[in-house]
Amino acid sequence: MSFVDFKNVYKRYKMGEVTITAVDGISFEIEKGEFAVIVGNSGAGKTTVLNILGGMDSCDEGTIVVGGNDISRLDEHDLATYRRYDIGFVFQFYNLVPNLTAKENVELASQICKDHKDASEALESVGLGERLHNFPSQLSGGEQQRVSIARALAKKPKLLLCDEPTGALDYNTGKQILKLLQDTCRSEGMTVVLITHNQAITPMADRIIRMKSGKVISNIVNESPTDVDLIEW
Amino acid sequence: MTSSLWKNVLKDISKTKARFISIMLIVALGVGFFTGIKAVSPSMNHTAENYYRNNDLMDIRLLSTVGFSDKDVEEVKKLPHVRDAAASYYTDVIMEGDAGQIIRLYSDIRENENQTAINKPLIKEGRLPEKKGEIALENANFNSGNSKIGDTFRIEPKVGETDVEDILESTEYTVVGFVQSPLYVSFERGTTNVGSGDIHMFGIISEDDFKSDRYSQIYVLTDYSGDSKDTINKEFDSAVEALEPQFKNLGLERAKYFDVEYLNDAKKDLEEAQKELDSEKDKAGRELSEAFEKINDGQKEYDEKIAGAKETLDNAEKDIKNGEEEIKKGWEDYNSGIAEGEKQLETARELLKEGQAQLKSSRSEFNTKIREAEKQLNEAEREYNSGLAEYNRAVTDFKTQTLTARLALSALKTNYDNALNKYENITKPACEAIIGETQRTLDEINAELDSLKEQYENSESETEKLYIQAQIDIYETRKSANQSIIDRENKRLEDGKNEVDEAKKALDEATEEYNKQTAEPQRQLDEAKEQLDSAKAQIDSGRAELQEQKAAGEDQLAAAQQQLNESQAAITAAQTELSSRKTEGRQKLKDSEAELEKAKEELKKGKEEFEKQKAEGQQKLDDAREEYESKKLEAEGKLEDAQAKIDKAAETLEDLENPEWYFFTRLDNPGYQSLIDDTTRIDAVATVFPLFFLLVAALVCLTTMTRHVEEKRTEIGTLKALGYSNGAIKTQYIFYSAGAALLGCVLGIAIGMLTLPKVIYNAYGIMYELIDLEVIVPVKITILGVIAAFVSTTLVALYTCQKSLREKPASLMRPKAPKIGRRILLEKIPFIWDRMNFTSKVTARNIMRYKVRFFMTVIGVAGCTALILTGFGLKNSISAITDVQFGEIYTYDLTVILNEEGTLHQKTAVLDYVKNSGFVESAMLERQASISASNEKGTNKLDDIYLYVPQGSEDMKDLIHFRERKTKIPIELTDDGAILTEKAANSLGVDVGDTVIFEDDHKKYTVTVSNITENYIGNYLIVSPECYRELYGKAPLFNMIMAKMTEVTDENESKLGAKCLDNDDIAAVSFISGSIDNFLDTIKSLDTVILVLIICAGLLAVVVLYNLTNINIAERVREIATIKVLGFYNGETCAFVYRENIILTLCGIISGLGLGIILHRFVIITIEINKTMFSRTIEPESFILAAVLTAVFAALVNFIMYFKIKKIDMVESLKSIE
Repeated sequence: MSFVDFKNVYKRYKMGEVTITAVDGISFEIEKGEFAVIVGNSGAGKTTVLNILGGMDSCDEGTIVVGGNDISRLDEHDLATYRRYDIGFVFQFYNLVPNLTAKENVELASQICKDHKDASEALESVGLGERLHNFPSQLSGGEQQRVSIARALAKKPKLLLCDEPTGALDYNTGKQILKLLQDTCRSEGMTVVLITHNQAITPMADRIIRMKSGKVISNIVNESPTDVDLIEW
Repeated sequence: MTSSLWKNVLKDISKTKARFISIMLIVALGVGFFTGIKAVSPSMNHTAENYYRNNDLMDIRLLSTVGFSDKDVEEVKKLPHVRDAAASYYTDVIMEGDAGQIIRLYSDIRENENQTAINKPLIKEGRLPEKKGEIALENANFNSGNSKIGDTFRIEPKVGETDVEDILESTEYTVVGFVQSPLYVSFERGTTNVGSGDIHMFGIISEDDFKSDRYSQIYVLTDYSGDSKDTINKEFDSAVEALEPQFKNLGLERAKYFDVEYLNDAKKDLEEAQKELDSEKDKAGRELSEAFEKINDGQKEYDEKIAGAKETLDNAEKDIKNGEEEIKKGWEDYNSGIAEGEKQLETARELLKEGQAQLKSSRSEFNTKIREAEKQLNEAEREYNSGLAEYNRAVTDFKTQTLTARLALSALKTNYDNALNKYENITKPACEAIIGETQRTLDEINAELDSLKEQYENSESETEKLYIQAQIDIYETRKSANQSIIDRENKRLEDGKNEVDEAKKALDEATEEYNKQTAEPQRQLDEAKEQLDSAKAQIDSGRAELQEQKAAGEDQLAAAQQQLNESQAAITAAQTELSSRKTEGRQKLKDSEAELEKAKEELKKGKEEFEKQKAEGQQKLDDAREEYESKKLEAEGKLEDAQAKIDKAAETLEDLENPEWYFFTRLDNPGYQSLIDDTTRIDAVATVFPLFFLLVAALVCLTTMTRHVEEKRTEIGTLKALGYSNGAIKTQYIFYSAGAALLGCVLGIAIGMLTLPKVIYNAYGIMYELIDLEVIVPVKITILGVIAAFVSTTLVALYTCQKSLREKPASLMRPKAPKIGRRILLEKIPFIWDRMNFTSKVTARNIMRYKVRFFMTVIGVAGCTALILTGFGLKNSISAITDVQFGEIYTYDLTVILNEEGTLHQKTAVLDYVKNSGFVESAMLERQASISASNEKGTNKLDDIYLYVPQGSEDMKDLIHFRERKTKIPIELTDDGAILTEKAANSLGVDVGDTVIFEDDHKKYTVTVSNITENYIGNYLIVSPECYRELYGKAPLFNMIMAKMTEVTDENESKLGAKCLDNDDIAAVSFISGSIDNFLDTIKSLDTVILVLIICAGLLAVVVLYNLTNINIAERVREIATIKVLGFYNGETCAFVYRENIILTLCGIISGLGLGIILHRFVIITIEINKTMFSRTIEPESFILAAVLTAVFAALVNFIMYFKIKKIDMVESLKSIE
């Protein structure tokens, strides 16, 4: 069985009298240790997939199995537990707590996990060993995103989910972040799922899942992923 | 504004309806409470004004020492500024019943063609009296519920000394109606000079029921009142006051007419009556003295006869007495003789006993001594014997020891003897013989030799010579051989001699040694022997001596025994003699006694006869005298009655001389001033309290509104970008905020006005009897409240909006950067910071991050806590009064009101009567009198105060307690000053050591305040009887008894009450349990106010906390979503958010408790009514309750918010930047 297994997953939103089907019966698998990219245009349903995969949202139909556990039928509390121990999130807008220093932001996540990395080490591993005690407002966007990644990694998650991590960053910084994510995936054997609308990023992935209008239109395994440095957009 | 904007606004409202409603509610609460409370005072004033105006409350009341005539009224009407005037009657009488309550009966002034009604009563039921014998009773104080129209109302026939029938036509009236009078707005009815002094109620009867031909009072209406003029103000008071001189002057003028019209005739009548009485008196006096003379003569004769008989009897009695005395003396002598003899015998016996004892002791002593001596001797002998034995043993030992030596010695001696013997007898003779022989040979040789030698010399021939020589040689050889024999023998001799010497020496040496060795033991033995010998000698002599002593001692003892035996014999003889003398003497005395008894019997008979005759005579005399006395008393009584009547009339006339008019204004009406004061006080409370409330509300509105507009930042940017004008955009928010404010104001004012004045007015209704409240809206205050509401919502919205609008649309579209984190001061103290755990650090930093919210929350919560605490504190303060006043200060159970007259002696008798009633534990006399007091300068005045003079007996400490409020230290009532109750001291503005001037019965007295005592109900100036005497120049007339019962039960109370009223000197009894009930009624009114307070404060707390928490969550929604995504459970997320809330709430509660103390103190001081002081103490429970309630409200809000936090959608919140 694959590490991530989506089977006939549906997600519908009711807007007054209209029902929008955001995820329309999709199925895909991702293997352990893969760097997977879900790519699609705005409104293709990729964020919904990520939210469902991350336990932030639940599906209406279908089954989702992550690491052998069916998460599609979990209640709110179990979903929180799932997020807590299994999932690391990296957001487009970093979502750091502005009132906490870099280290404290990481600690915020690590303190609730039994098995976690040391906050300082996590930050060092993303190259921020010098900025432990800076507040988010004192950090650049790239640095903030690194903190965000460190925060996600500190929990030692089974799955690292990234939602347009480069969306708010400039080209070079974006590349650095992608490099960091790819390196993490390679060096730690972390399964990374990244969603983006940017087709240019796809060559760096081990697996490319394309979405359109709530459906998966292709799920390709890239046997020879390109190094981030060689990608341009 | 376009329709889409309108739509947007309405949608906005419906989307944020919780916020909209909460703003509206805060506004409603703040404005409603503010205006509602503020409306109380003006509404009450307005109502009172209307009441006074519509019922034509008099402006001035005139009293006179002699009453008024119609002519007086005419003259008063003519004075300037007088609108109208009318005269009426009144009198104070005692209602029938046990309580001795006083009712003021008066005739009212009705409207007719040339007269307006004054003090028009409000008819509650029935009608006013139309003819004689009808009465309209007051509505309020006549609370015996079963009385109704048609019943008969009775009054006591006497008021003090006066008969009611002298004043009124009847003592029975038919109740025709129930009324209420503008003269009495409170439940006070004023005071009077009869009975207990307090008027209990009033009643209106017809003018025709009054017997007096002069009116009691004149009511005057002035130009200053009436129509639409306001009278509850200082201007009116001073304008009316200014009229006093003209009335006083008129009074003086009218006094002259009074003398002419009235007084002179009365005086003449009185003089005549006196003259008649005097002549009657003379006549009666003469008759009485004649009768008296006769009785005196009879008495004289009787006295003489009695005296003669008495003398005879006395002589006989004297003889008997002498005889008795002699016998008595005989007995005495006899007894003393016997006693003496017995005493002597006793002494002799004692001596004998003593001698015997002595002898016995001497004998035993002697025996002991002898025994002791013998023992000693025996001991010595035993010692001697043992010594002797020891000595013998020693001698034997010594001998044994020296035996060997002596044996050796004797061997040596034998040896020596042998040697000597051998030498002398054998060796010596033998040797000497040999020597002798040899010597002779030798001598022959020598002679041969000599001759040979000569031959030789002489011989010339050699041969011869040779021959001779040879011969010489032979001789020489023979010579030497002989010589050696001699030598040998000599040697032998010598040796023998030596041998002897040697033996001798050995013997000598041995002997010496022996002697040396034996000399010391021998000497010791000799010594011991000597000692033993001397001891033996001593023992022997001792024994001889002892024998001697023993013999002598025994002789002495025998002699002593002999002596004692002789004494014994003598005593026995004496005893026998004494016994015989005793018998003899007694017989003689007994004979004399029998004789005397006979004489006595005779005397007794004589005396009886005498008494009988004497009594008969006395009886006759007494009868005569009694008849005289009764006749005299009768005559005197008649005369005295007549005199008293004349005197009283004269006194009354005297009072009537120099008549004076007294001037009173509305301010003198009971309750009039205190109503004004109370409304002023409510206004005072209504200033701080709701203002505070409004302030908190406004602050919360402000925060909420600011937040609301800031949240709409993007929208403002979008609209602006779309080209909407600033005005149009602003209008949206103005509409939103103004809508909330307007709705809140309308709601608040409506509810506030409809409820609060009514509730509080009704609360005061327990103390005041007014008409239904007419609520008037205090325009200025309402406007102020509305302005505050709009400023804190609309203006704030406008300002915030304006601030946003100043930015470029583009920047507006971008989210406002969240407040950046920064280090807080606490982080610079690593000592503390390093010790805090992660969440505490986050909380600390968050609290500091949103300072505005921090202060808003703390202020909001503090405000609510303070309001709640004030509410509970007020309840404590008020209810503490009952406990402290009736539990600790007053510990008496009842007061007994005495009739005014009577001496101290009589009063004490009543006191004893009460004490011995069987229900009373302790009781004390006291005086209470209504006075008025002021401070030294006269700036502060107090009319509602009593002079209290406790007699100060032992019982006092059971009944009433004076003490300092804060320290609870008891205060002693001394003679050098007065104790003032605390509230009175505050009202008068005096302290310990200051002077108080008080007025009693129109006289002024000055006294120093020596102490201030804790007291909550009533004002008292307390002085000791001694102090009173110094002030008044006379002893206090006690008019009350306070008493403590052994057991307070309803049954005991009614029994004791009945028993007391059986006593003619007791006017009334009042039990304190009744007072407690009355007081509880009075303070119940304030409970309502407090409930309103607590409810409002609670509502405010909920709304404030809800709003602030709401804002908190709204501001941090992204943060909350983030931590939810990180896997925080709902509980953990809430804890993360609430930790701050809890800390802020705690800060708020703590500062609120402090603030509450201040607010409570302020409110307490402002709401105190004249007579009552509230306790300043807030009970610990109230603090706990206020804190807990606030905490509960906070918890409630947090509970509601839990769902809100739970509902936060992570996906939505994180989708993009807002």
